[in-house]
Amino acid sequence: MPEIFGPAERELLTVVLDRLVPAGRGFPAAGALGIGAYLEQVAATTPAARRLFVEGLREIAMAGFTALTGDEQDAVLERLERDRPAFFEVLVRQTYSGYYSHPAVLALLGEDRPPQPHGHPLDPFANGLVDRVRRSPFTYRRP
Amino acid sequence: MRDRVDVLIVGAGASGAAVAWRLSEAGIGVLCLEQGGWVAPETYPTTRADWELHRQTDFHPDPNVRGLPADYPVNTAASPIDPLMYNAVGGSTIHWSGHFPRFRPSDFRVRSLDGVADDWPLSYADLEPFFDVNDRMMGVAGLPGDPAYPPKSPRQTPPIPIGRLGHTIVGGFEKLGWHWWPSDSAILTAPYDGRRACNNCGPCDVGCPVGAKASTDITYWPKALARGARLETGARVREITVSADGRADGVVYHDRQGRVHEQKARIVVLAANGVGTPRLLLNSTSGRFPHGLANDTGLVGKNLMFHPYALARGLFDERLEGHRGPNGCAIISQEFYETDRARGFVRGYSFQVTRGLNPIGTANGGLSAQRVPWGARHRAAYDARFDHTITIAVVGDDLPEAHNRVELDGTLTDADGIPAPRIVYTLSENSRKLLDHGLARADDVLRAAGAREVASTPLLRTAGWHLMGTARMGTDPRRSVVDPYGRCHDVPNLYIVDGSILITGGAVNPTSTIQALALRIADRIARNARTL
Repeated sequence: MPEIFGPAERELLTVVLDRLVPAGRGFPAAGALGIGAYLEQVAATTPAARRLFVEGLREIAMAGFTALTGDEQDAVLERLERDRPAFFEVLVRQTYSGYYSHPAVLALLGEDRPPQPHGHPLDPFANGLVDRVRRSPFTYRRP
Repeated sequence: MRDRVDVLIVGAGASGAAVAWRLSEAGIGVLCLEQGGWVAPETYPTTRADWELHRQTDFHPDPNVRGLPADYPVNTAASPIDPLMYNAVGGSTIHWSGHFPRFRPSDFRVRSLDGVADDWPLSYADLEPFFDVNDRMMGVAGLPGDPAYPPKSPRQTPPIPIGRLGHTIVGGFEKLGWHWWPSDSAILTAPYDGRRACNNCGPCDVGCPVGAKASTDITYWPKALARGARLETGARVREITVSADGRADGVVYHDRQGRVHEQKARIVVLAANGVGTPRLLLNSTSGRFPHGLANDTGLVGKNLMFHPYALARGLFDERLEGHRGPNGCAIISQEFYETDRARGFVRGYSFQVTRGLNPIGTANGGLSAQRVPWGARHRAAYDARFDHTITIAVVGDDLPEAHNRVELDGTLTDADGIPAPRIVYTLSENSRKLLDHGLARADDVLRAAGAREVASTPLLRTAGWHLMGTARMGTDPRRSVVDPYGRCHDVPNLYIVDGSILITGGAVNPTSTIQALALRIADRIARNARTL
């Protein structure tokens, strides 16, 4: 995997991700789960993505993010959401994508089996359900 | 250069495959050029744990996001709706959800009935035999007896199961006394024609490895190839060439390495969808056709229709098992399909009740793009949504307006340097009123079914599944591009068989109607084969 971030950026990203998706109800926080590595992959896809992440993280770092309290960190992220919406949307959406495709999270959701090859059992359609509609007059216009 | 072929088809998707089959059955020599390749069903991502990530990347329906070598870019800056398509053998049927409603009888008579747009030069009854042939070729799950349509021929398999989610929303429709019906779907619920039955895995839109969902690579193409049709993949047509007498005489195309080839043909058939076909015509300029082939009227590319979509999403307390079953279809309602002027707009809409969102889709909002909040509220908000929502899509009728169009972009090109299309589309006032009405009624039915909260998306951006109207059909050569049999008024041996020729959009998914039209045109070409 190409290395996009340095150690300081990785550490910062972990703290940011833990604020975006905190731990709770038995679910791990996104940073602690290692979703930063997924974001680094995303950042490596195009030069534009790389620039977006590197510049965005630089701005967060300049706010002294890791030394702030949780509430203060949230305030920094809210400001970022307002002032750098392009970066912030990518950050949040990709964090969700990495998090909700992680095997540990899918297991907690009861979704740890891919759709195929097993599929899902479903009862056949019960034709009697449409009895009322079937008895109604034709609803299409005859031109 | 290969010898001249009888019929050259551009595009191997829904309509091109149907035409290739019909003509090869009639013993006519067919060569189809397709810019994409065969997609092996085992490469569809649904067997992989990270399958949902592929939906956002290499299996995304938007070619601008996907950016695969077979794709061409589309400038969408001037459109609130992005056109979606897939470039492969099977075309966008690789990606579709298998909705298979037919246009209704009134859709062919909108001028006479409602005083808008134009009547079609053919009727529902004219198309019915071709609907039936197409149903048999694709394989349709459904239930006879829907009072929203004239009686239909038997469906090939029983309807798709609706699951707990379906039963919940049916409760709402029953309470209100509204029309609903299990969707006609090109998805087998029982083995048919050597194909297997659906196992309700869910995400049809990233390809069906079971082969239950009809895509033309597994329905029409094997039969067409067995009858001698030839299909060349990785062949991107650059332009249609014309002879001195103004007839189409072949095409120039690029192979995967970008090398240029020429192919001569007696008849050329365009099946490249409502964006690709006008793009190709506009790129085919000559002394005789300086503004693009078959474009003496200037109508090529005009009257683009998409079907504007709005979404209403209801939040329910109970779990709905919404990930089980074909994700695009559960039931359809046509309670508000026909014109009622008291509503303040003409024509109408269908409701499509879709299945639930998968884990990433729930977080990012799926097509609505309304994501779950981040931060301290995230966990509770996510858990309240996941498997607790029912989404109703409002599919609005789309009427032709000349200013909605496909044109050539001044600078953007594909990898072969061919000018790319640019989309210009504005939502009409009629469409806005119609969608707002639909959202209010969707709110009613979701709440009647027990939703405690309803969120709506007024217009969906990633929703240009249906590409229609850009080379419209008609009897008047001054007001249409092709005649009632898909033949270009200006070029007697050039046919168009894709969604471009639709005159109005209807308020249902158009694939079934497009394919029926294509078969009707192919039938005509086959009958006149001797005069090729």
